[in-house]
Amino acid sequence: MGQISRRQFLQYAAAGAAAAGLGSKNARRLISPAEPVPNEVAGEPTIYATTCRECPAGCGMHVWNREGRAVKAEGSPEHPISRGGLCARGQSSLQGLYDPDRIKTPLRRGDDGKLVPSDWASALAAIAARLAPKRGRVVLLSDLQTGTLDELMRAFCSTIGAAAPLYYEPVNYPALSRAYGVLGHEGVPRFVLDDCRLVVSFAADFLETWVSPVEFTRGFARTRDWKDGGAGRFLYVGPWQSMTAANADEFWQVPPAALPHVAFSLLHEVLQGGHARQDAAGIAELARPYDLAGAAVRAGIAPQKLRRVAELFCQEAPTLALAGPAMADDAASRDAAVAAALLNYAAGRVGQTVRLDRPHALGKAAGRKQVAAAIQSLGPDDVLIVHQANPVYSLGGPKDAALRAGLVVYLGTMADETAHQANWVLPVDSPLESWGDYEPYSGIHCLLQPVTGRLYDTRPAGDVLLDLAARAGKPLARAAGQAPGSFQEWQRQRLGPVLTENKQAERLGFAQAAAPATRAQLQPPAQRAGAAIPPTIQPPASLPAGQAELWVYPSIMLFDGRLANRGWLQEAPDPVSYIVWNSWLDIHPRKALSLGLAAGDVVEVRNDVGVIELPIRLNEEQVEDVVSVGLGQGHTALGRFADGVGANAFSLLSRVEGSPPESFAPVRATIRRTGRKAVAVMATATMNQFGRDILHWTTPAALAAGQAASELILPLPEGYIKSRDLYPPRPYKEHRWAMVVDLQRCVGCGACGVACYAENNLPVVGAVKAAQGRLMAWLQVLPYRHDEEAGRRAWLPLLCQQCDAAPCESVCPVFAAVHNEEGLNAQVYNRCVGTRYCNNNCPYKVRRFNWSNTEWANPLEKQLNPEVSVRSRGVMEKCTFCIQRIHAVERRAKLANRPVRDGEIQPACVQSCPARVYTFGDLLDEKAEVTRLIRAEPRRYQVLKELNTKPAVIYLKRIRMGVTA
Amino acid sequence: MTDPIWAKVAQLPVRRHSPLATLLAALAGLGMAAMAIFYAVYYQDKVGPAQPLPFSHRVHAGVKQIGCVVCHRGVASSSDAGMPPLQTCMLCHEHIIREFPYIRQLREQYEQGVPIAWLQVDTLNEYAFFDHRMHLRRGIDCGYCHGDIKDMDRVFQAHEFQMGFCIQCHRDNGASHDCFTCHR
Repeated sequence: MGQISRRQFLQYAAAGAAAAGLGSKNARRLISPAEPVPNEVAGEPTIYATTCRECPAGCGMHVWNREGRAVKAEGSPEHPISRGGLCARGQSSLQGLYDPDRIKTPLRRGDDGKLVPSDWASALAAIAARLAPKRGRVVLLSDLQTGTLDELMRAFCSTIGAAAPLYYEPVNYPALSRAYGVLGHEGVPRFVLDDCRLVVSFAADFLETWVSPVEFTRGFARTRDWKDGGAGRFLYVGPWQSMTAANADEFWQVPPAALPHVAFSLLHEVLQGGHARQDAAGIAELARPYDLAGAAVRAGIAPQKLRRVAELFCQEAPTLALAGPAMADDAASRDAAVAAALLNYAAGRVGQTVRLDRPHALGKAAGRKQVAAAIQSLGPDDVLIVHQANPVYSLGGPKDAALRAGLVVYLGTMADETAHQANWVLPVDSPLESWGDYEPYSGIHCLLQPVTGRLYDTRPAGDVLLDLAARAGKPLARAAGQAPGSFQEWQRQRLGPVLTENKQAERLGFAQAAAPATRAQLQPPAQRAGAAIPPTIQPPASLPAGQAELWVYPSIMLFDGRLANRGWLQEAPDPVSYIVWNSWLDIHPRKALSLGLAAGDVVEVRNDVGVIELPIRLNEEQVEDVVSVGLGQGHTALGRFADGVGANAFSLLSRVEGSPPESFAPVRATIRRTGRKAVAVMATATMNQFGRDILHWTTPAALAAGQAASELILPLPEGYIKSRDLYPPRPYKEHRWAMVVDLQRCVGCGACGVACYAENNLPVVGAVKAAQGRLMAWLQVLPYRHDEEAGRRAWLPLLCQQCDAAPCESVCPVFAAVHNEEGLNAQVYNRCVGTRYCNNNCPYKVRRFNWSNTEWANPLEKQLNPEVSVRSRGVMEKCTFCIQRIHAVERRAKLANRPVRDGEIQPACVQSCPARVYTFGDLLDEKAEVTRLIRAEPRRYQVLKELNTKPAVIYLKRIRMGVTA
Repeated sequence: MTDPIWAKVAQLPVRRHSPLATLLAALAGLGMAAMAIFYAVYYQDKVGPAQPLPFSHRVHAGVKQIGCVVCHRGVASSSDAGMPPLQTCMLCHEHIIREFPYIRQLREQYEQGVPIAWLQVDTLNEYAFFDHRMHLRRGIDCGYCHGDIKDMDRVFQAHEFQMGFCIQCHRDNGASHDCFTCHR
């Protein structure tokens, strides 16, 4: 080491001192860009309208961009599908964009079998070289695509001489789409739930993942409103109480094999009872063998109940029957779906609640078996290109046999199980970085635009395909003859006419083509029925000892597993079990007893296809011979949050057409004790109310008699009674914020909870701390059971009640918990010393204590909302009614010299709710909707009112009604 | 009882100064004191941190009298005052002292699209939130918080933004005392 001069030494010393001095305080930088950033004002969000691509539903999103970072995804209010709501999965799209385990550069499989970084030029050259000569077959496998990318992929396949692209959705609907073939329209029709008086679902979980859940939740919640002495009713027929089933007024527990019995006997009764509104001569023959007595025997449903439902289904209008659970492709599900389609037909619902003229893109999706067959057929000469799909995980097969093609190219965002078997891994833009379009229903063009700049060395998938084809000497061209040079240009050429016609399209994020000129021609089933539906209803088979029927469902949070690496979704409790960070097997207590199982046991579930191990949960709300398990967990190579969590239930589902176990349901499995114990962590202590009446139900009779309302103690000076109150009344000058929560509308989906995580910088604590009860959720949608009626349950969104006489405030020794001028219970983080007295004194238990400093895995911290403090260890935190949003609107109003408008302030939970459960507003505003509801709504009550905390969150009771009773 | 040191001092020969030298020394002393007072009172001797590109607010806001809003455009319409893009600098420096070395550097950065990351000087703690436009709406001068920018070559923080500084002004002007106004 050379000598340093005295002068140099002093320079270094000075620099060191400066760095030390500045490091503490002046680490923050202010950026002067070279050119002004278009559409950006520092300190203000820029909102981009785009389309959610987390599932095939295609909901509209508004993404908030602050200083170049995407910080919040919201529902787009004008969107024809989602109409303002956004589910938990859509909220989590930001964590998909900022996933720390995203692929950052092109990767190549090295000689040692490991993936090593490479570059685009050599990747594209190597792949194109394989595509140029016609050697073997080429298969393009993608997640469901419509619109421009579909057109481009088709052009790619035909130009290089491959078969049409396979659009693979593991969660697809073969039974449902085949069923409407009976009416001459194979595919998934558009279902309209709005204003239905009766919805009958045959194991279709349409509030969770089924086809287009946000759209259906919105419509369903509307039907639930008590109007003119009644509300829409909902009957669920199925083997297991899903979240959708738990929202039903009546839940008929029937084994999967008995579903068609119930459905056909309803059809039989509709026809026999003379309720049919359509000419149904042809179908009468079909339904003849399934009379009510038969259904009573096989499904255990009383004939008078079936008779009543058949009657209601035709007399009330509109009504709707839904059937065909996700992935179901077995005889029983197919028959039930056909029966439901015919029920809709017979009752005259086709064209009314069933729109055959706007089919859903999901009808085009290929299922697991089709994809498995395609992949298995490939040999060493063939090329497999996979785009944003994970067949290695979702086929659940043995690892060595999964991908046999000579060259596997993976285009995607995550280095998942499939990427780990690929020869080339090419990183593509996340949907939030891409231009694009998606057409979920034919005629509804949903547009995608980048909401933030590219994070890594990624490219649009369309450009990669264009480039590959060009390098292989087979440049792509559109059918019309143009040869666009890029995907964006292709899109402009394709959508140009639509966008010129719809001037607002780019601002709104969608363009709606005019309704089809000709109405869909409905073919009466008479001509086709005989050929299309062989009545294959089989007698109930007895199960061998130790076996159970397996009911597998897509998880509401993790869907088919593609979203499993998102902390928000892992930590969002499953609405039914309230379990976080795990998978579990639902089993009836009597079944468990017969198998020698007790709570906390880990079991091995084995069948001919595969084996998984997971803890059990005792659950009475299911058929005794059925065990159920959700999809989405059990990843081995998706990312740091997903790997090693739970078990992959896809491994139990057959991949081979026609081989036993033949189908999705019933799939048989043997359950065996492993001897190990494990507890699936629940995010709540109990679902029982122990007579404390936290979640109130009322009855139609009480409503009719005007006796449903409870007296309120208002969080206003008028709620003060000298003899009862210790503290003086609080005067409010400008505002008194309050919220009304309609329990009748709440379906329990948990979108609001995830929206709260996104908006308020809530840390994800992980499985270990979750088990210690250290979850940080400010808002929980808690499931509660009815104290008397078994199987009756509902959800109660519990957030800070912003009490007028708040128990938390009076016990804080440092005045960190203080009352705000507008009625909120403010928590001043910088004052808090962490005594936790406030939480001990809070009867609602909605305060959360930071047990540790959170490290956001880079680049997840880019999502943090700059308007909200990031709390540190030792600080208590809680719901603020999104004070940052309240202030933003107040400031906007003040600058415009006008009062705040009612409904203008939307806290994150209120905005995201697809069911419009929440109403937020100012109690001092005489004309506000909250004021109207609190004064006049006959179902109003306050949780734990007897404590005289005077909560400002007013709940509206759930209505306990039946369908047949 | 004499200290040996003092005994030695007493033995030193005494040198007599001329009255003129004494007067000059006294005047020099007075002059230094006056300068010290002048610097302390009239001259801002504080200097802020060195920025990536030297920029003098004294020259721009003081000598040339360019208003704050010319560059910090968001101040009346956003919570953040905002930093000007380099394009704004080039509006003038396309023509003014083009060959000054730092302006040459600026032009190079502008042409290459390289942003400047200034060190933030007037910092507020992360748990406090401030909105510029609401304060401007009340007619509060920028200098009330940011000090006399016109005299600062390298800008320094004129006031520690402690809670007392904010609250005192809120108290004097009858503004909100609600914790949620600034903390959330």
